[in-house]
Amino acid sequence: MLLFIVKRVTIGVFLIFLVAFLVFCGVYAVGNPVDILISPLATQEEVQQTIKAMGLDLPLHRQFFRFLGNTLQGNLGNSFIHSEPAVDIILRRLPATLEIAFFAMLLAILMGIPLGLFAGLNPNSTRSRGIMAGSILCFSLPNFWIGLLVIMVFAVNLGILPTGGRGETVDLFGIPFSFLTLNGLKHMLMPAFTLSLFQIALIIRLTRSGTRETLNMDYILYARARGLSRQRVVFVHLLKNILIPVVTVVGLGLADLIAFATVTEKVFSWPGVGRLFLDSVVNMDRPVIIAYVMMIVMIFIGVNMLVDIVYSILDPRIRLGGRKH
Amino acid sequence: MTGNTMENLLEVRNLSTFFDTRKGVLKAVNDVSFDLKKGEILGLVGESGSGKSVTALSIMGLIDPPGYIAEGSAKFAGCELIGMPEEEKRLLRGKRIAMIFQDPMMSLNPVLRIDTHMVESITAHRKTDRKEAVKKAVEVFRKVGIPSPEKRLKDYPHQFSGGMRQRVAIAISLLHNPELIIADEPTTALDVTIQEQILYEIERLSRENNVSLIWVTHDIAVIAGLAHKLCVMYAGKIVERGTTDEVLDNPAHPYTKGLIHSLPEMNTRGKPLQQIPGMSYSPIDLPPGCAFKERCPLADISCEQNPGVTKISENHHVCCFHPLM
Amino acid sequence: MSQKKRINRLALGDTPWKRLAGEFFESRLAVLGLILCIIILISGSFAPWIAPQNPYDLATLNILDSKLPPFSKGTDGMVHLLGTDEQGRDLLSAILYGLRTSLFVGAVSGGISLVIGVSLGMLAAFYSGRVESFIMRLVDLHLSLPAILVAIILVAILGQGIDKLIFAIVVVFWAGFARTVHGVALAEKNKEYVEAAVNMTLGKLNIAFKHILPNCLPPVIVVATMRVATAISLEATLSFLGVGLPVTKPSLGLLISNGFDYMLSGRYWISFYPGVALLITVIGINLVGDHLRDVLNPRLKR
Repeated sequence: MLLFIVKRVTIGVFLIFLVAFLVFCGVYAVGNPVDILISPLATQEEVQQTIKAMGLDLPLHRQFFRFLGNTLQGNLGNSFIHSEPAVDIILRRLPATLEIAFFAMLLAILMGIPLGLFAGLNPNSTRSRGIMAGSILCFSLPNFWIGLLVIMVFAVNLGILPTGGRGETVDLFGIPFSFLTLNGLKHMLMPAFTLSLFQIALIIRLTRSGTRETLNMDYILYARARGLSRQRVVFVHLLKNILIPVVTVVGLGLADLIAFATVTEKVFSWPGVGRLFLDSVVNMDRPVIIAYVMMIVMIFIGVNMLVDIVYSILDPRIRLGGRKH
Repeated sequence: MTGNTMENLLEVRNLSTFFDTRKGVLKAVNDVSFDLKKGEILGLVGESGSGKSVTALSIMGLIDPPGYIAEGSAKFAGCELIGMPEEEKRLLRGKRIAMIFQDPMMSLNPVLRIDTHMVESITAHRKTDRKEAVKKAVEVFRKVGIPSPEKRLKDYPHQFSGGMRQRVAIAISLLHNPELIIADEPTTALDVTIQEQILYEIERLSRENNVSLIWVTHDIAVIAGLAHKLCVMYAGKIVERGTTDEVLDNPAHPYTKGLIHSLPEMNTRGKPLQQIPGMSYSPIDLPPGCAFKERCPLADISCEQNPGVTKISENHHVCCFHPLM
Repeated sequence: MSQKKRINRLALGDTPWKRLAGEFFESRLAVLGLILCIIILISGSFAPWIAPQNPYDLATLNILDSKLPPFSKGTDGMVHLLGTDEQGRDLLSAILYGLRTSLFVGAVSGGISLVIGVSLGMLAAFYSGRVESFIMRLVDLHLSLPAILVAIILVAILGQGIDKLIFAIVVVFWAGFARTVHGVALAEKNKEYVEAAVNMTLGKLNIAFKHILPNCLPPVIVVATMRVATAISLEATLSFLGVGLPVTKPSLGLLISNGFDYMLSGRYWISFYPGVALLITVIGINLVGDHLRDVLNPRLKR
């Protein structure tokens, strides 16, 4: 187990640097940040000075090593636009994104598992068909468009929810959170719901197909043949087997939500890292783009590792001696 | 029907279980009748697809849509099982009628420990605390010959060998001292040497506890020395039934004769194994008349009609127009 | 009724494709999806002949017609069934042309990533060792990054344009195909018919593509149908975020994006109807793919 974790961490660290390099090269290839940074009125000398100060005159590999060295010290450079450390900006914006991502995942679990279970247990009922049709709808609908529709209905037509923004926040451990105030919750509801739709659909489908496959298993029949109550069969024998794949999806889904929040944040003007990233992409604010991507990759790798560990705890067949396949 | 009705533990009359499939109605069990006395062992023999497992599941009340019991009755200790409310059936299952499945690998839930299986099987029918239940589990484990039961209870199913797992299943079936055990090919998935042990074990336990046994198998050799009575099934119907000795010594149905003669022991060394010519029918859209007629060497025009039951002797009946005497 | 015939039919059975088709058409939802797909495909392909107006021809546009609600009459007397956008374009025409663009992007990027992914996946399954570990590590790396971000960064770096967008989508998608095919091919590889083919000393590539590939197709088909839908959705999302297609050739996503600003002022149709078109497209494809998955999944056989 320890060896497994060490191996995963090593691969993870390697992956982060690989991605950093790729993104660095990619971003390096286009746009001249000097044009954005320096006022057109600046003299040639001033321009040269700035370029030198930022190390932009060095060849690509030198720039990368310089960047690498700084990164190892936790310094990902100053934002070109905001002229403060990129890491600081990202960390300041991150709680808003995490808040909405977690809220969305909570919604997805609370809705997805019961609905999927119901649809799997009664595959031919009208309600199940409705649930499945709905899940296909959630899967198919481009997320940003749902966001627009929701705004149109609840904010514009009905006027019961705000169109965007974060609303009132309350500081917890020095970090502002929306979910602690009613107004903040109101602001969170639409973006979190929109963001969670895809995950709801995913969990519904996974739970349903898991249920249907598991119901065909001999051990379910055997459990019934032993006279166990229906509740016991469904909520212990069935659910425990289904939860294994669902946990994987929930874990990876959380990372996905953080990444996909980019779109939702744009639709609902939610001041998280996703919007910051989009703005940075448009402005070619290299340090922020790279810092953001590295953060996302780290989250992805961390979540992946966590999922593997939880998985092995849930499935006793894997717990002893390596993974199957 | 022979024998005093009062002695019969189980009376199955004209039981028919159908499945609605895309291609038509599959008559998995078609007009099946038999009796079982207390302490008696009944062998239900037939090739795969002949409806023997479905017969067992119909008695257990475990037929799910698209399957349904079209007609007939099954009286267990005087109570009608067909149409009994689900909760009453549940209380019978595992308590008064226990079932052992073919593949012990598949019938135990892989993510639950053995003690969970044991304890839930006990508490499903008897209000006891966990400690008491574990004690009972250890006791039955000893009875079926599982070494160091306290330790093994903490294991997961995949940590048991096939033979041991089947012993677990037998132990579970004995938890509530049932009056009837239905064993669906309990030795088929095991090695030949283990088969013998399990066979012996079940026979001993049923004799010691005066339990009636329905032994479902495709291997007539397995139960030849075990069963008191045999029912031979073909295409959903019982084509021959009688005491084991009479059926094996004087098979009256051409199919039974074919079955017996295709056993390796019955053939002389050096000669090719005897076979029954032709293939088994798909039980969908069975044509009228005897289902075996296409493969039967004795078939003639009369076989286009449904053969009635012919009495060979007091305890030996056959469904054939041309019974072998 | 002839007994012989009956036995023949039972023995031979239906062909697998016939059986699948039979099961497929059993579901009304799937048939609905198929019909939607066909309608969308036809209206997208024949947009220049169906559309009442050429939305790219600036000469026919009149700024006085801008933002007309549905069913209103334009200055030239034309009735705009779905209204007009901010440039006075007939929305129905714009949608049909946008659909064409979206379908094109979806199909081409789906197709290219299918070919690349399947080839690499098969290669990895058949040349175990370095080739396999290299390809599969690459796939792992790829799938460990969120698709939407990779696409955003790529398009941001490459600039706007259909070709660049397709390139970005292919880069995002090929890995998924490779993993699916690799997994299925590995399972197939150990089956007896492959051993038989190997014993007949058929070439490795021959075995891979002639014998194993057809058996790997079912899951690939399902993934591919779903992927086309995802590609269309992704294209729309990127265009919405402003990093996708150029404004001159609006796809559905861009039309939705353009209408976004007017939505809050109640001119919902500019954004709404393109969204409906996008929705119908993606739902149609997904309904078909979803049911294909059920039909092709042997673990759900009754």
